[in-house]
Amino acid sequence: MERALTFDIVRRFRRGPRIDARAEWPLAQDRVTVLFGPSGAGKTTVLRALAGLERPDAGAISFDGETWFDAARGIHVRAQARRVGFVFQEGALFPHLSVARNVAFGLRGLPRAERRARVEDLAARVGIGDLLRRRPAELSGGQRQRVALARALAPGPRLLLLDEPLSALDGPARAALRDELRALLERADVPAVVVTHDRGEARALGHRLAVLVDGAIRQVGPVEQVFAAPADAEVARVVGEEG
Amino acid sequence: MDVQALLLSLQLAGLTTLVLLALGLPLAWWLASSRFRLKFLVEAVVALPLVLPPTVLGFYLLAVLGPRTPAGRAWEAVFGHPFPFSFGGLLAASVLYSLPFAVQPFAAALAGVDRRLVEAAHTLGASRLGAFVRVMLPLAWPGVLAGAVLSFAHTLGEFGVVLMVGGNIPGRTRTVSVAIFDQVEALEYAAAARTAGLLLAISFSVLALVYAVQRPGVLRWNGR
Repeated sequence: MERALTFDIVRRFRRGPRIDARAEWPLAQDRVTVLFGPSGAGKTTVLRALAGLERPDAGAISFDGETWFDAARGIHVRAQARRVGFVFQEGALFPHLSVARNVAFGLRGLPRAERRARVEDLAARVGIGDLLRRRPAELSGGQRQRVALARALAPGPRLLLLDEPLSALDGPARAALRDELRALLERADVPAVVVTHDRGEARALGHRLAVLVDGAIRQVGPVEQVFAAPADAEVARVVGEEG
Repeated sequence: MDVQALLLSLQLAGLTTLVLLALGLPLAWWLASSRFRLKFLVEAVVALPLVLPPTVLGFYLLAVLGPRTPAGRAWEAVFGHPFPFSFGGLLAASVLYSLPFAVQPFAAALAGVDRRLVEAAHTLGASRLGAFVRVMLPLAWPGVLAGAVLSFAHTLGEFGVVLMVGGNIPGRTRTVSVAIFDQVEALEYAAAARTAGLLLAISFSVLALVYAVQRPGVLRWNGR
């Protein structure tokens, strides 16, 4: 069987849309999937369910042949056992720890020297080598997201999930980090899912684009292809609003 | 001045605080994170000592743990002496009496920790306990300190429960507040004034310390 991330995530809310998102994404190397859609479509819920931070009401999730969630069989693998990296919208860095300790947080099992080498290597890769002693409060928005990315990558995750990683940034910082993020994700050698509602980001970051509308995935394909040939009028409206 | 009573009070307050840290933190953690539907009942029970007169608490403790009840016999079997008029009994009563003073600040502080930080710890492989120890506790610790100090000060000042459960045995259950009461009863106003003044000074210093560390920028992690 080909390695793939397969999911069918059903989540009902008392208010708001019912989410029923299903897809099967091959895990061929350096594949970045952008989960794209208007706000309120359920993107973050899908991402959190993939991470194990939220338990869907029904459906199933499997990764590389391993069942992460199966409502029918009562299986729910906890986030701490899934080995996924998660980058939160505003970093969610631990405010009481230095940058170095933030990055090392998931490296508990490693010997000290190895941990240090890994932190330094990652810091150099994402460009925070000279910030290791600082506290998160002393960082700019862009620096925080770099630290968050390094922290998520440190334990060697099998899947990297990014929830609107650039939305807390503004203007030039955002554009600069966007281009760099694409290079970083390609070099990271781990499949990634990026949630965004920004077309520019979707185009810049993704190889594959999945369009989520009202809780359902309506179209999946290579980014430029989806933008050029939306499957239906609704997808066209969502991907084409920029005019 | 009754130094023995003062030392006993300090010992009682210290031990009560330690027990409340050990029992109160898990309870507060549960209160801060559980979605149990009947949680409000537990919250109400924890808060009861705030509104009940200490005599009512003492009365029920004696009724339940008196030497002729099954619970009282079990207490005696475990600790080797009956519940009333013992230091152990006093400690148990103090723990209950100061429970809300510890648990409420603990729970508020733990609930104030950004949920996403705990989730981030989970995605980095930390267990629930790991996330509690490495993320929640360090971030909530001004509140934990406040709860611990409040329990200490509250136990130091308790009177009714002590009298109901512990009586007035010098060196065993005679605390400083009871000693002051005795001194006033015996018209020893000078001694009472000295003891009361000392208790006031200790209590004020302890509370001033709590409010000092609660000020913004002191011992608190700023920013996200």
